[in-house]
Amino acid sequence: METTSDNNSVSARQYDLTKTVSQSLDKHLIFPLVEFLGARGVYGEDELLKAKLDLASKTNMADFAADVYKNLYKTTEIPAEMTQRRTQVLNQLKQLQAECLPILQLLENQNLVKQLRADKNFTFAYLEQNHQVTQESVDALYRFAKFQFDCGNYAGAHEYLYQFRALNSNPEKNFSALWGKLASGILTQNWDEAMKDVLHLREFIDSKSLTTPLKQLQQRTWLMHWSLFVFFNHSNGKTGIIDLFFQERYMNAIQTTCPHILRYLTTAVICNKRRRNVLKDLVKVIQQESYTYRDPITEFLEALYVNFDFEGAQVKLRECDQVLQNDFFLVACRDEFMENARLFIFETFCRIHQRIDIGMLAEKLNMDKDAAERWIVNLIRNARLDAKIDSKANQIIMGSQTPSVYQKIIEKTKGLTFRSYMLANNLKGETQGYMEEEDVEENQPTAF
Amino acid sequence: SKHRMSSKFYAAGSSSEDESEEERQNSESEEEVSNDSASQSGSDSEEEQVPSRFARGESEGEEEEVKRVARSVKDRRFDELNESVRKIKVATNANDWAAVSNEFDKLNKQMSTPKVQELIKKDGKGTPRFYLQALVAIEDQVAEVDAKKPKLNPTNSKNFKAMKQTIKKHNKNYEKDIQEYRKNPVEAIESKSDSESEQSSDEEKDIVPVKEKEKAKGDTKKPVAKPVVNSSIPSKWLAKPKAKDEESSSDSEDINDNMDDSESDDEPSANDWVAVPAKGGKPGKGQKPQPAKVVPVAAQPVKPVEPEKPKELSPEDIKKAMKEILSLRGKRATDPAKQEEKLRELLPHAKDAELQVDVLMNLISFQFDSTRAVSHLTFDKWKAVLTNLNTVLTLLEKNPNVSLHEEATPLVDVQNQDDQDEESETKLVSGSLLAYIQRVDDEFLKSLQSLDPHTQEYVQRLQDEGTLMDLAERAQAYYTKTGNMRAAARIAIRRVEHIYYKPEVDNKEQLDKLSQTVYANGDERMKTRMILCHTYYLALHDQFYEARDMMLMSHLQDSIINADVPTQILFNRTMVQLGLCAFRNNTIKQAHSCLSEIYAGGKIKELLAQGVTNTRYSDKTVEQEKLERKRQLPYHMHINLELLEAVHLICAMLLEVPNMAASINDPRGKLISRTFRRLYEIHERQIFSGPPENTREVIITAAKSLSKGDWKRCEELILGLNVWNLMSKSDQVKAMIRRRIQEEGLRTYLFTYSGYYDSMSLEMLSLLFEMPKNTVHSIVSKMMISEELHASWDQPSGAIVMHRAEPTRLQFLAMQLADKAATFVENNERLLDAGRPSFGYRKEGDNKRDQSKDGRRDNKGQDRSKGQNAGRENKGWSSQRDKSNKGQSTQNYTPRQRTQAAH
Repeated sequence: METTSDNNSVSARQYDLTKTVSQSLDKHLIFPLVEFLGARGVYGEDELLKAKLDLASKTNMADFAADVYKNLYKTTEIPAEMTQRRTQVLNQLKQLQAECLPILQLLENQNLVKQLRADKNFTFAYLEQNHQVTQESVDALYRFAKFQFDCGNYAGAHEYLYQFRALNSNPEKNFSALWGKLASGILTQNWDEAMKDVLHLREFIDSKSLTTPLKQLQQRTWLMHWSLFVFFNHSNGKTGIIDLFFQERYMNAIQTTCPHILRYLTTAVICNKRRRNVLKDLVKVIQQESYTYRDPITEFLEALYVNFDFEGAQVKLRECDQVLQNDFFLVACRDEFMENARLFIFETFCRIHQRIDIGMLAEKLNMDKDAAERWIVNLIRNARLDAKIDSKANQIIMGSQTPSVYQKIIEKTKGLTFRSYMLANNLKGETQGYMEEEDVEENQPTAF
Repeated sequence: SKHRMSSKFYAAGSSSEDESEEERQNSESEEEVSNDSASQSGSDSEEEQVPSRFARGESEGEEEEVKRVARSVKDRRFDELNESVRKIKVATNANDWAAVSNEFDKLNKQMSTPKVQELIKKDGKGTPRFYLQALVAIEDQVAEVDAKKPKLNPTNSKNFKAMKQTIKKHNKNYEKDIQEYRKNPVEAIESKSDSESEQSSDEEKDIVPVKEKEKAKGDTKKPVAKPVVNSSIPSKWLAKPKAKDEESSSDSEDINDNMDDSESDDEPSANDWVAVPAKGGKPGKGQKPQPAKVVPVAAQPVKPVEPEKPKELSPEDIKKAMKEILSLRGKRATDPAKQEEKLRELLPHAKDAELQVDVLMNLISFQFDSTRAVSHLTFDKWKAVLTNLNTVLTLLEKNPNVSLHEEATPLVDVQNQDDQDEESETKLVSGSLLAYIQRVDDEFLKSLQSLDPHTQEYVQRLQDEGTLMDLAERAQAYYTKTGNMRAAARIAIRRVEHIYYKPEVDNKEQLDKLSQTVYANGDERMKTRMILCHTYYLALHDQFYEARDMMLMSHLQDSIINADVPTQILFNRTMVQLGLCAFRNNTIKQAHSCLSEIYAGGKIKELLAQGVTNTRYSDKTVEQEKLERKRQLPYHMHINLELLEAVHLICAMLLEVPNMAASINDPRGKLISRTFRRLYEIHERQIFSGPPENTREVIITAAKSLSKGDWKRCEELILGLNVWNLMSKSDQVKAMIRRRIQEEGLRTYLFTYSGYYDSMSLEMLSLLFEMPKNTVHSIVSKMMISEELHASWDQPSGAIVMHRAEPTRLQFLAMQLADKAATFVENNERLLDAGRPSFGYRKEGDNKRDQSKDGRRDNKGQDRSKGQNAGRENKGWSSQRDKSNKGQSTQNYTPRQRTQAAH
């Protein structure tokens, strides 16, 4: 028993992308990942606590860092520098609060803000005239929001950044604030807002106002990583991720900087029944990148659609299960993935067979025989499969797939009559239209 | 016999213009010979036939002539012998014993001729030193080889043994002399250099017969005042410019000059050449009285070279002298060799680094000048230039306050102001080290082009690359230190171009480092070349994906057409190498697309600059041919063409044979390789085809077997090719080819015969093609999914059930009719579309449609149009296109590429 769990953790580590993904994430966004790894027990507790401490000590979350420290070293004492850091943070907080006092006061008055917004008066010009808001205080608000974020007050930061963006006119800061807002949105699990922010950011990045292509590439990489939080939590995320990542620019970014994103994209594609059409493209990309990135999930697709190696796919699918369980983003769609993957295998299998033994199929699908039969009957009933079950021989007999030559010819010539008809009609219409127009033109002079 | 001999010398003389190594090394003596023979030709030949040229000089010069003849006969004899001795030495050093024994026999034969014996007797010195030298050299080497026992090939060692016996026997006769020689070899060397110096300063030599008619010949052997500082540099050997250039030299050489004139120019003055001193001031002869200041310089040659110079020249003097020399540069009447020598004389006098650098730079430029008449620098000169460049570099490194600048006022012009600047930090010297280094590199290449690659000389020449690279490295370091990054990049790319094609060394780190310099500081062309070299390197070292990505990300396939020809050639080379790499990597499709275009035009040799295709009806102009020859790559850089063709055709076979089988009933079946199809059809048409003789025939025969399903025969033929020895990892490659042949054989078999079967068993196929069942299953499944094969598996029985027999003739025709009807309707639709604009409205919509069509056509037609435009030098890589949009982040190739990466 122990060895298997060891094996599990080894393979889990092997395919763990936390480290890679973290490189393109904000410090605060990494906490949930580390937290998750702790829960899965993939790494030792100390190891993770150390990582947490490392992260926390770089933020303003001094108390949290202290807690982690105590936890890690099993003491109640904390080093002097940490206390120092705490007072420093508090001082800074006071100072920043003072700087943007006027605007904070204004914002505290919820009703006023609502009123202003309703009247479309929540602009810098108006507030400057009527509410003594200065440019400095607006800038200070930005810093304050950032500070709040660093302290772990994500909801507050989200709110402040929202207001800030309404008042600020500097596009650079606006952009940066948007990133901040997305992060706060993610951390407060405000998925609808976050989804909007993602799309917003995408526009920002694509509107080439942003400096160099290299920077754009970088920004896209970040956006893709950040958006994973959103896409795998938002109800419509799995369509969103396909829409975004299959954009040529984003696909380029994936191939160039972060091929590991392919894992998430592949999972999304497999889980999304309505987007089968992208499968071919995905397989192509996976093949192309297979020399830089491969994991059980991409290999599963490769086995199934490149090599038609069903046994291989089966093995990979079992590995996929492991990987999905230990991936922060994917753990939620594990069942969905497995179900769909099974269907994938089955469909492909059916396409090239005319007779299949149910017993063998059940084995391939990781089901017992009766369940497999039920499953297939359901499929047939839902008209997704042209097949019959020969109960006596315990076989599935597929309907014939290749149309006969006669059918083919009928297929080919079916549209012709209609097309010719349309053609004739068009021709008629056009000549008439032409005549009419000419009439109009002729009539025009006389009208004057 | 005299006549015969002189003509022999002529041959030797003229061969000095062919630039083989021996001639160069011995150029001095030969030049001397050719001069002599030129001057002697009259008297030599007058005994047999009276040449018109010297008819006039006969009566006056008879007596002197005779003496000169006598002297020069000896010299010529000795020169010849010297030459043999030298060759022996070269051969012994190279352990080439066949050549040694050959030359040794020749030498002995020459020695034993009565003439030579007589001469030696006359000379009174006993056995000539050089002869002893040869004997000793051989003996030493024999002893060494005996001691060390280096690896010699069988024939060579046989020759060695024979030589050992011979020399043992032979040396017994000369035992005494050899002992003497061994006791005092220095003298021998001296006397050798004497003869050299004599020959190099031929003024003195030529003077001898005139001024000192009565002197014994032995005199000429005495050390005459010799000016040669660097004896490895022949002062002149170019027969052509020499005669005229002589005129510019100083008074002491007047007589001689005019004599030369009279001989070569065939002017009337030839009659009275003895009286020339009187004509000393003759105008128009380049005899412009030279400024007095030059005299000390000009007089230098007469002074013996000793460490302590009696006369020190002040920097001012040097400058003046230099100015003088420079002002004469390039004029018709100047002899670069002589000027160069003078400059060399100045060198020891230059005390401060600045001046030294200046003198050296000018000296180098004079040395380069000597190529005016020939295609490239001689070996020795090249080495001298290299040494000088190294010295300059050392000076510059040691004196950071001295720097070179192309636009700096030449030092010689800066007269007194310079004194004020003396204390200032930087001193600018005019000249460009970079340009010289590039030049010296070019010369190296040129000399390799002109050498026969199968000779020892070529190999020896190649060894000089090391020194050249060391110099380049130093220079690059220097430029980097001084902040001249552009120049550093220039040198870096030069270095890269010496490295990238070498398969045996691992230069990755070095290349990466150099590439950074180039990418950061180079211009567009350099960056392009860098990318190509880098890609080539990666491809050569089997890093296919990296190489492929680099090629695609650079987008060079689109822009290479605008590049200069050498860069296009480099591009072609890279593409070909990438193709080979793809082949080794088992990506046959990519390999084929890399290689097919370059083979399309049948001008592979030109495209790779590896020779010229011999076409009877070549429409090339002389000019074009000349250019083409200039572009040729030295042999050691070549990519083996036979291997290349084999790889190309095998790729084509693996792709085309199943394709042909699949589309046998489809008249519009796609064509993968036109070249292959053509060859295949030719083979097909033959009534009787004999056993295959060359690589091409073997592959086509193999393809025929494959198309019949006989993969074993195909494999046997392909693996039997002997080109595989030329490929790295040939075992792996062979295994890969075997696998591919099996796979494609199976596919072809199914395409061809599936129509005649109702079912086939997996087992049978697996046995037939000797492949594991799941591989067969995978291949067949793939064919089913892609609808290449209309069949499906019967899982319980493990058989393939065919769904469709071949359509009957009627069915086939019906299909065709349906197709035609569809085309007909389509055409009608298009007609209506095309007719619309004539109605005078809806124009906008039409335009839009047209644009979108054009757009589509652009995308698709890119390769095709490129192929056409390319005409000669361009290769596209079509199938890889889909990836070409892959952006890139870390390396900044060019701004343009970066923007593309953003898309």
